[in-house]
Amino acid sequence: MKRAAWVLLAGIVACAGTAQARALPRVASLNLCADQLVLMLAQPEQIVGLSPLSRDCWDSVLCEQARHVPVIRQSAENIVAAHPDVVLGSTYTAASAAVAMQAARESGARVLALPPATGLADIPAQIMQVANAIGAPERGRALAEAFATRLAALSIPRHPDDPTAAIYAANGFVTYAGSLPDDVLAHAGLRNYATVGRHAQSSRFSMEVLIARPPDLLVLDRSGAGNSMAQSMLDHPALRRAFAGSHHLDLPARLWLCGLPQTLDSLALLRDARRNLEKSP
Amino acid sequence: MKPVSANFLLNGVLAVAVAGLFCASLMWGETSLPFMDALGDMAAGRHTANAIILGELRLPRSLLAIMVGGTLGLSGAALQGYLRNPLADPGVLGVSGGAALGAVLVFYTGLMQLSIVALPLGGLVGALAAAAILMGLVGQGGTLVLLLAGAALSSFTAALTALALNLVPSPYASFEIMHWLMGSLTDRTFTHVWISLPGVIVGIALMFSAARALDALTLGEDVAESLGFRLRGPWGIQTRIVLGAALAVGSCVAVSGAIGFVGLVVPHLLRSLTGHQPSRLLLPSLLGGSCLLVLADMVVRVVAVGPELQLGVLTALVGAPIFFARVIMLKRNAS
Repeated sequence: MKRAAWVLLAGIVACAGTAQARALPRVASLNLCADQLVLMLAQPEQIVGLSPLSRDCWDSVLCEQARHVPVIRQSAENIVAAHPDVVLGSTYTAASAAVAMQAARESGARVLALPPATGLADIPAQIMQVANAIGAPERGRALAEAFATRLAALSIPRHPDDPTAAIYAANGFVTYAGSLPDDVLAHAGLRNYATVGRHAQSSRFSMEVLIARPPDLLVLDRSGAGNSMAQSMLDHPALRRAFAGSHHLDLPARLWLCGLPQTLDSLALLRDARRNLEKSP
Repeated sequence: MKPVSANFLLNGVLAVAVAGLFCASLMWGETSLPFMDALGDMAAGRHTANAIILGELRLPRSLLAIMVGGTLGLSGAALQGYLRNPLADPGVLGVSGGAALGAVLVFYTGLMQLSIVALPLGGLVGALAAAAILMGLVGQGGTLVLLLAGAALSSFTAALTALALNLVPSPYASFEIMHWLMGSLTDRTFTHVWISLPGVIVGIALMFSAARALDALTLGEDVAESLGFRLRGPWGIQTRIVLGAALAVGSCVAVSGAIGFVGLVVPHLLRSLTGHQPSRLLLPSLLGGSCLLVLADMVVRVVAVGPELQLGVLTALVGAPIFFARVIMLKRNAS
């Protein structure tokens, strides 16, 4: 009798265990930024599929981890057939992903569209949003708190005499105000070159203009696999010569492409670069 | 007026124009800079901002404009002389398109990392293949066959270039279709000058070596052969012209993309000044092509606000009306 009671108890515990595992919602993500948050917050068995970009090491900081979970192509048919409980996407998205999100909503899944992070302060909020949606609020809270602590330790208060920095990307584009990299610059004690002075409106600079009126620090924003003329422009010998030594910094774009805890690595790199500038002006 | 002295005068004027435009294109740009100071800094080896702008941004660009323009003008004149057809030109015949395809395949697949000669080699192989296909297609056919084959070949190579750029991994590649099909000299370096220079020099020398044979060819192939010129064979005129044009155009297109119409327009504009003797047209076409391209590049640099205009867009804007004018003249003569 006593033994039977033990068996019954063990059975109840086992059932409760599997029931809890089943209760975790199954997640599909259609957006690179959501992919990486899901990888950090969700259990691997929860993940129905991430976008194929998540495995591209040029764009994704967690590309190695992404290889161990399935990817899903962003078509409505694929998403609906996979029966996810939660679908994550972006507010700015390609037409195919928008259609897929609409189809998922109609088939009864919960759809969450994340806006792109425009500042470091958005990141903890986005972590919590995703964490709550996929049923991992404790992990989310831990991650968001660690982020806030590290951000407070790293950031430098702004000053009107801060050195200027230009974030120069393929094809001569510079980062404008109100974007995540612009906010990272501000936290690192640097002024965005594209927002100061008389060239405040343009989003694109030729090399000639950049060399004639140089910023204190040139941040080369490297992105994308393969070879192209747009990318080889960043290796032009004139740029290398005009911004030698401490005046130039190579920064992989994947760090601040999405608002992630790893974005703080770019802040740390920029802080070091600023310190080097002060040492050897 | 004696034709010889008139020709000498024309060449002199064109050479002075090239030199003048070269200096102007060094001085003129998006930013104004103290030219003499910059020149002094450059000569002394100081890496000031002015010296870098002058020596590493404007100088290679201007040199390339002269080389590419000259090559296109000369190949146009040589091909028109050899084919005895005023519509021949590396662009119209698909030779530049083939060169662009070869260069694209080398550049975007990463073969260029293996060796610096891979890029001009790719352009050369593409240009030679296009020229060989063209010659094979035309055979003994006339003008119409040549133009049809050229049109088919150039649109086919353009399509293959666009296809290749859509398939390579780089996210920027598909935006660069315009560069390779229309041509541009933006942000070129001295490496590009050294890449294309050997092919250009050898190609130009080969084309000039056939100058006298071109005169004889105006009397027909039989007469030319009876005058002692070998047309076919490994050192024949055909090999020298086709190989020379492919070598020079291939090397240029590999760094600048396929710039159209320069080779077509320049000989046409100058032919009335030199008289109808193909050999006299060669040097003026070389100089005139340089002039035209340096000028076009200056216009592109200074006029464009916002995204820069492609160089080939401008040369086509100038070149296409020449076609229109020819059609109208043809109709007037026929009626």
